[in-house]
Amino acid sequence: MSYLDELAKRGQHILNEVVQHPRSLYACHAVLAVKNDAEQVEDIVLNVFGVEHAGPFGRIAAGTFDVFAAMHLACRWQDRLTSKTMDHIRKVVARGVHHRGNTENHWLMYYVGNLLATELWPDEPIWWNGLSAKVMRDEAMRWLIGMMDRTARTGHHEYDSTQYHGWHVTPMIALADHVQDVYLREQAAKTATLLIADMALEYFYGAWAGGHSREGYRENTWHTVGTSAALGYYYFGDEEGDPMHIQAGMCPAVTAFYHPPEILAQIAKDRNTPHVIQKTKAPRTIYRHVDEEAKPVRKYTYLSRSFALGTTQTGLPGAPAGPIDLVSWDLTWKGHKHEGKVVCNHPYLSPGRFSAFLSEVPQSIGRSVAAPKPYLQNPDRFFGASPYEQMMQHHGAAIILYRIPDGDATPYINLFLPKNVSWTERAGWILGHIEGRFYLALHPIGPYRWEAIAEDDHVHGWLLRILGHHIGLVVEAVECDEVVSLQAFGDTVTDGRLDVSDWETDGVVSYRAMNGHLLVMTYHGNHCVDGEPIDYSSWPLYGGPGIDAPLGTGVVVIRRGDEELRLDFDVDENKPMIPMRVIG
Amino acid sequence: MNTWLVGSHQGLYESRDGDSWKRVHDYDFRITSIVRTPQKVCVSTGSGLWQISEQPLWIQLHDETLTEVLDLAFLPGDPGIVAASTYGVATGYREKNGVVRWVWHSDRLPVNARYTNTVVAETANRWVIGTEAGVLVTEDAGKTWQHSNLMGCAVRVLYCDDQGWWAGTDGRGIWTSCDGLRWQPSGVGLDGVTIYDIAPAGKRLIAGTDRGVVVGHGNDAWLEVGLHTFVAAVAAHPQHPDFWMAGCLPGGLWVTHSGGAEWQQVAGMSNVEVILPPEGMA
Repeated sequence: MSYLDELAKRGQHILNEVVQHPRSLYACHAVLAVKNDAEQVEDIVLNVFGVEHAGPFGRIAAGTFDVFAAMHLACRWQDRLTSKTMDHIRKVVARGVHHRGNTENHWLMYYVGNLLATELWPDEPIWWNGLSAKVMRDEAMRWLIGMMDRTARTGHHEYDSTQYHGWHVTPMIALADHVQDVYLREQAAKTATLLIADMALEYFYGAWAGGHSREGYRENTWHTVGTSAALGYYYFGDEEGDPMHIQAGMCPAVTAFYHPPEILAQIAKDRNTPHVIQKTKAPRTIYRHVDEEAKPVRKYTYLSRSFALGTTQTGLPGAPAGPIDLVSWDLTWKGHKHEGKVVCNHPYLSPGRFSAFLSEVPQSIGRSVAAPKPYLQNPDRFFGASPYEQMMQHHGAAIILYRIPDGDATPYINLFLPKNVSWTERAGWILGHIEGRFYLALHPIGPYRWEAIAEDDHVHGWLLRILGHHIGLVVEAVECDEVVSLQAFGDTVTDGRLDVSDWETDGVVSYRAMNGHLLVMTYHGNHCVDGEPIDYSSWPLYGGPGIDAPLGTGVVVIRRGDEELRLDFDVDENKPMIPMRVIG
Repeated sequence: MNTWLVGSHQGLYESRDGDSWKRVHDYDFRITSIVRTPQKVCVSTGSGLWQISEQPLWIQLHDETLTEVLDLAFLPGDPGIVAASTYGVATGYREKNGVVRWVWHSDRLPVNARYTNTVVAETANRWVIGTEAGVLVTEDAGKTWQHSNLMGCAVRVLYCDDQGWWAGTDGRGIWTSCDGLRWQPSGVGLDGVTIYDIAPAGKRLIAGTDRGVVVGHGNDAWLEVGLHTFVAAVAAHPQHPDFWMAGCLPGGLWVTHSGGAEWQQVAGMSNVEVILPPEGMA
């Protein structure tokens, strides 16, 4: 079966499921593709898009998701939508009140929606914001081209977000399919492919392994998470039967004309040879409470045959900077929900972590942000960055350290362990034989206790609480065929390979991994492998087997066998980049 | 000019008497500041800057670089605005096609000093800004910045009149200055108090704090006069110095006609960040 046939098959499966209960603008794509029922789409559009306010000055407010969804629908299916549907979309988009939001995905959807609208209805004299179509179009073009340029040169800002990646990919697809400007159309197609390459490089049996800018909302212990699960299934396949594969929101990708090159699906599913993927991503937006800028994000993900271990140098400038959805590391393997991840974090609670990147005053923001999202302040959570977390990794081994100051409200870290593994405690280590395919060793640095955690269907497993101010975790995973038995694995890892004798005094932890390499990590200092400090500043935009993507050049080449994917964004390295005015 | 304007998280509201309120069109943005001349009203919002027109249509003044605007001040020219934002200080210029573009003046400052809560444009070139790092002054329209001696704490509001300058700080009460550069604590009784707004009330000053409203003359004790809540905005009627309004987060809008002896909450409004009193009536 050809790749396009595979896409058609999986796409049909998604659309057939969504069309059973269509309620959203996104689901309208399925209704039209499967049933060609424009009347049903009309009902949906009129019911969900634009809510007229009462009163003499009643207007229509819409969020970024709404405007983008409506314009993608209008552009993709304008030859099939009823005139009433098109008129309604035009009225809401042209005359409503629209919010630009504050995240990168918000701005992307806002500007894509505005741009497509001004192209579809160029004769609209004045738009909802008092501007002409040309002025709106020019502004959208500047930001969109600038955002793509920045992404190609310094890395995606709202990077690798399992939750929101789909809201970056589908706007790029909408532009690639529908925008009139040829240059922008081509740039958008390349950016869509780059974003899907981001997924492919760390795709692991349906999951997206490693660190993510935004994977919160109590889902980061799941195997498949957010919109990336649906896109991964559609573009790469490989896994079947996961409910996360069916998401109405991603239907516009399925019915699009754009599709990525097959090489990405091949890369996503190729787990034969263990390898390392490096990525550089844009610095986090931290705009107060600190004096220094955030540094670029550096990701390192080791993909073995049976597991993937990924860690992040978050580049955060210090307390209280701690983006609330960030997940810095995880260990992933093929497994069901709640049964394919190990992850830990320090559930940092300072309200300053909100006000470091949100503009409400620090004195009230803790309550105002957390009131509608109480899980953000849950002391049992496994997501959200901590300014006190530092880590290093080499292949299947990682050291994760915390120096939590006195006075911190949560002087501990939470380690999530699945319940379907029969764990062994031995000489300070916790050992697991995972799915009969690999061995896992975890060494908590600091006293710990086992707790169970079950929050509806969001989290279900063991919560290992590691207590103290100077604490941490050493992780190593090894394929079963590299060790005789769990007993032998345990014999080896417990045989003096870990040295924490200088941790309390000097902040140094060393660990000789099973492959013989020596990891030495100094908190607030060097990360050394076999005595050589890791120079994160030298990392490329993307690194890995067959990948050539130096930082700053806007050129990404990915080779696999005789095939090559070349994305050249035609950047001017001397040209200033668009300023970062979004969070993510 | 003869109306109260209130900025909330649900949009801009207007009242002639302080009792009866209506929303100014249906732009339900978070309003962070309001400036007004006889010719125009502009508001800053969580995601931009708008000019209010007579039509139920606001005119966008921001571009793709200006967002998270926290305060505004008028300058000569068109659009004649200096904007304070989480990303720094910017001024606008109008292109031939009429669109407003923005130039940034504080990109080279450290992160905390870029984050600008409040701006006062004393002249076209002399601006005083309250940032997360303290008070900074430029004499050359943002080309260079001079640190005042009020540094090391966030400054959330600046106010100046013919008596001098006043600054509301994070946790260090109210400070006063003759020039915006040299500051000293103002009065007593505000140790540890955070100040969000300062406004004239006749010959006194009123301030919104994290523990309610305070009133004083600036050289003696500040007196707490009610509202045991987070008061983000205060204003007094120019002709009736005991007629005040206070905007609270999240507690909405409160009114007193008795200099704080009794407060009445305005029903239906929450999260008020800015209040502009009637003008030109004193």
